[in-house]
Amino acid sequence: MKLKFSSLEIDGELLPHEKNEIDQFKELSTYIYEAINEADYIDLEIDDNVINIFSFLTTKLIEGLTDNIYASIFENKGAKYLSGDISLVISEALTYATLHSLYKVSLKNIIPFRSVKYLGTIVDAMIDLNKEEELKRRLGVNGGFLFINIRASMTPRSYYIVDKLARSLMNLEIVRYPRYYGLISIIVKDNETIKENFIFIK
Amino acid sequence: MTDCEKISLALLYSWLGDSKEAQEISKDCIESLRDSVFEIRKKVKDIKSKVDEEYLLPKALREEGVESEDLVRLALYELSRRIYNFSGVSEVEEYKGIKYVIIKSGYKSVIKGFCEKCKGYNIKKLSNGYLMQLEGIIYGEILGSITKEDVMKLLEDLR
Repeated sequence: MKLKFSSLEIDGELLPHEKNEIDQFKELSTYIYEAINEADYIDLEIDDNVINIFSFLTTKLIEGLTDNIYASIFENKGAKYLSGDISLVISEALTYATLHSLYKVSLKNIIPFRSVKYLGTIVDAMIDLNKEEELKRRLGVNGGFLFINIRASMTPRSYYIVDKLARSLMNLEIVRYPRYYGLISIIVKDNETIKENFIFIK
Repeated sequence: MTDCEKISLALLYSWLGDSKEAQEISKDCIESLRDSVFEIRKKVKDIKSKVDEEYLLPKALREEGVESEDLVRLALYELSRRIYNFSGVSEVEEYKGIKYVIIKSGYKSVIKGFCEKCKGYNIKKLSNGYLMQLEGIIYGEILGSITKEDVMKLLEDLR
């Protein structure tokens, strides 16, 4: 399937951690959201079968992943609601499949933690960078962990995405700060395509 | 964390339905982490109740000695516990080192499998479906039913 992809990097130092700083996650998220909107998107094509196989890493048991993706994109939903469970699974599978096709991340090197996210101290997934040459090169680092948070919306609204971004950043900092790296993957429906954004935090 | 390095394999086996293997791996992981996890959990709970604002939590955790690795350990422990508790009683077939299972769902058969020695990407398209292999993970959907012998033949081509 075809999707639009763009990525950007932000410095982890920008985020407030100290008592003498103010909680500016919301403001930062607004800036990130503006940057995402004006970013240049590249066309990315991912093999449908590859997306299907990543269903073994997703949190919920949903069959017919690609059918669901096309149903969501082309809005042949009638009067029904789009399910949040489905967009969750779509976003997870697309994020992992993108990591695989762009940065050659091995599927056995992704540990999905979403099913234990109730702990409150962990993010959606983790990759050990020491085994991933291509991703290390993209980030310009020598090793460590990459913590991933995944967000999706099939009916995107600006305030909703800004909200989710702020929450994701905060979640990510709990486990990332200060030595490791973070990635927020945002997947939204845009007309009849899917837009995917990778926000790397270094 | 050495005993937990195989956790992705445990995930794979539980996806496949090989509950025995999944339970064995997750049990090793649980046992290697059991002692340290309770202390981490207690520390995190204490620190959480101390901070006034959520954005101060990361620094507070690090200052009290809770590192990223500790939080990962906690998550790995919880994940293995889930894998261990929720693995069913199912078993898988084996053919020349490839573990596989055929799930018949009425009009369609789903084939899942895992072959430790396979590498790269390989797909076999049929008139009524497909079977593919990516880094050893095998998945296929075939309309109608399929016999074990036919699956074995297909698996042979995927190696």
